[in-house]
Amino acid sequence: MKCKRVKDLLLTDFIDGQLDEALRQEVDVHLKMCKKCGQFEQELRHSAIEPLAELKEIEPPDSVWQGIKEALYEQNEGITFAKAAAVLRGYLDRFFSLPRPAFAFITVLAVFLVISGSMNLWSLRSRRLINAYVQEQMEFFEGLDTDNEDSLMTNNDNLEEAIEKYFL
Amino acid sequence: MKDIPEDIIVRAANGDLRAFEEIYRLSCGFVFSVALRVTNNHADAQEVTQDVFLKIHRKLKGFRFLSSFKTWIYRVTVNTAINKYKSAVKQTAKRVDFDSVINVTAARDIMEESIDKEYAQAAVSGLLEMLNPDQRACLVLREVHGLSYAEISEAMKININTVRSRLKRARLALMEHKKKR
Repeated sequence: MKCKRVKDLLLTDFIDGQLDEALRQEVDVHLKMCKKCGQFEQELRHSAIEPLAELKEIEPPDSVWQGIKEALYEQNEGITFAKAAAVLRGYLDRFFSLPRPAFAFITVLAVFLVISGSMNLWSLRSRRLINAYVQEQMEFFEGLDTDNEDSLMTNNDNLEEAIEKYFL
Repeated sequence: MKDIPEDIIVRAANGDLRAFEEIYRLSCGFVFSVALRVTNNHADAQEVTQDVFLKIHRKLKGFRFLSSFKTWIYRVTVNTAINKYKSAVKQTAKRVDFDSVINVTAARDIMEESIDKEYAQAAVSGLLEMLNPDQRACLVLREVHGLSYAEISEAMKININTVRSRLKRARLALMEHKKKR
């Protein structure tokens, strides 16, 4: 076996135990007979193999796992927000992709419902306010006039008549 | 790197954080060591380690067990570490030389025994720094983690003869450096 080939094998497969048995023995025999190659092997081990034998696996600091956990939590929150946004966008896309007449009808209907709802609420509120005021006044007048035979009617249906009688 | 049981991988892929943490505990030593040897920088190595595991977490669901899970981790680690090193070099355009590594390490206030160990580690780091990141990755995977040529070839997605070629050049470079000193 030629020295060049042996050196190539020394630098790779031989030193890494990747050679088959037959080839390894050939190299062994050559190394015993060739001083130069034997010296080359010693230098290789001393300068490129032994120093790296000092290197061991190193565990990372705890902060690395903490950082990974934090990043995963942030990712999950982002995913939740993104999902909600995607669902809303889906609804909006479906709404805006309706045919124009249907879109117009739904919009008008929605506006109508909002306005009528607001108006109902307002009139209901006003009626409540008026009723409360009238009730107060009735109680007040009842308290004022206890001798009057034509006392105020407590029935809301004859209220106007009762007030008119009192003042006349 | 220790073998990771398949059921843990499946549970982690389904969102089980404890199972994912188990994967982390079993493989973080390998990932961090490779990252540290390739980038030669603790902060970069920590960043690479985080990036690797976040990538693994993202792609875990799509892992089809067509190749070994370990090989997949090797691949992600080596690629991320090399890319990090290359971008760091571009940013700083400055190489740490052997002597400055020794000086920085010697200046630290640590126990005597630790100083010897640190010196040896720093000396080796200085040696590795002479190599390009691809050679460095090959050498570390082979010498420190005992990967076979076939495993290195799969991890780095290179031909097996390219693995041989990189190892040969790396070792010759280290021998040349030793002769000069």
